[in-house]
Amino acid sequence: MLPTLAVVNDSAVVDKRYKYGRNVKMGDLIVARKPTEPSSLVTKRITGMPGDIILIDPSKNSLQRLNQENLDMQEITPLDNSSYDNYVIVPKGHVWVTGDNLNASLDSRTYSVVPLAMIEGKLVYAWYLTGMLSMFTNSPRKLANTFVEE
Amino acid sequence: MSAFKQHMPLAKYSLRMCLTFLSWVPVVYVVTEHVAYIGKIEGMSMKPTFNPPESPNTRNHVLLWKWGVTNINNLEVDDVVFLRSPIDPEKIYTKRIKAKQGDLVVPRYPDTRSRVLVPVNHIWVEGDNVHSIDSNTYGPVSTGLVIGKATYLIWPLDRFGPIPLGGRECREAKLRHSYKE
Repeated sequence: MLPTLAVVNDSAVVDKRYKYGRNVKMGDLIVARKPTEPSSLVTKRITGMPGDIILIDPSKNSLQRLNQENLDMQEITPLDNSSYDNYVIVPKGHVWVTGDNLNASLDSRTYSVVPLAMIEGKLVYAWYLTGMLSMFTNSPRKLANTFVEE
Repeated sequence: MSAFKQHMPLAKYSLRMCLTFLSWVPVVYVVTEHVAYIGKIEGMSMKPTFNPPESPNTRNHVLLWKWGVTNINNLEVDDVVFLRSPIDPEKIYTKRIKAKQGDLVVPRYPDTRSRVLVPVNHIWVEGDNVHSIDSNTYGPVSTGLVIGKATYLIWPLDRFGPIPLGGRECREAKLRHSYKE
């Protein structure tokens, strides 16, 4: 979730009134159970609501092997990304969630839509705390919904 | 004041009883929310296993085990589970697990998809009744949606006992096996 949340030491306030996806909106930060591993919780941003048509990720696999030595651009055969270069309609009662750091995020692009019933709450405040002293140097940040309809 | 002093032992006794009662409220809450509870089965999707047509006015009650049910290893095929609906999170469904992760399933209406592979930590649930909205409509569900496993039928008393079996076989491997025999 970089750059919204730090990798470690970021504490957050979760509003549980939004449990089971009650009144969640596009662009909200949510905590949800991971569908493929329900014992763990993930923090993601809602990027698709029921009824929306989503283009999964056509850029997937397109930048692989670029850091290889002696790379001949002509020799690159693109890896198969046909399953990612596809459209998905978000079904009723589900949301599409992605991380803010798309390159390093395991999200709906892999495990598909998340049922609203697996949402545990919405993130409202975050506070970067590394020790007792940082309470005075860092102040809590409000996690705003920056979604704009184009 | 003198009246209060006169009833002092009684007041003390009631206060102590009140506090004892209140101290048990969180215990009961945690047990009913996370360990076990009594679940009522509504609707007709689990006919004829639950709410059979012979007794239309009694609702079947089951003992609902809630501890550790989101772990796939604690769920078996033919268990009856209560799960939060993937379509509407405020609704709760009662369904029977018909396949677990890794199984290849033959859906009831194979016209859209002839075979469905159940993903990791997902289950395939079906109602015992053909007229049921289940995984044949919304696909495999994550075990994170399961809120409890029905272990005993406790009401009405004449049907007391373990949960009866029901439903159809939908795992392709088992179906192929039964054709051979």
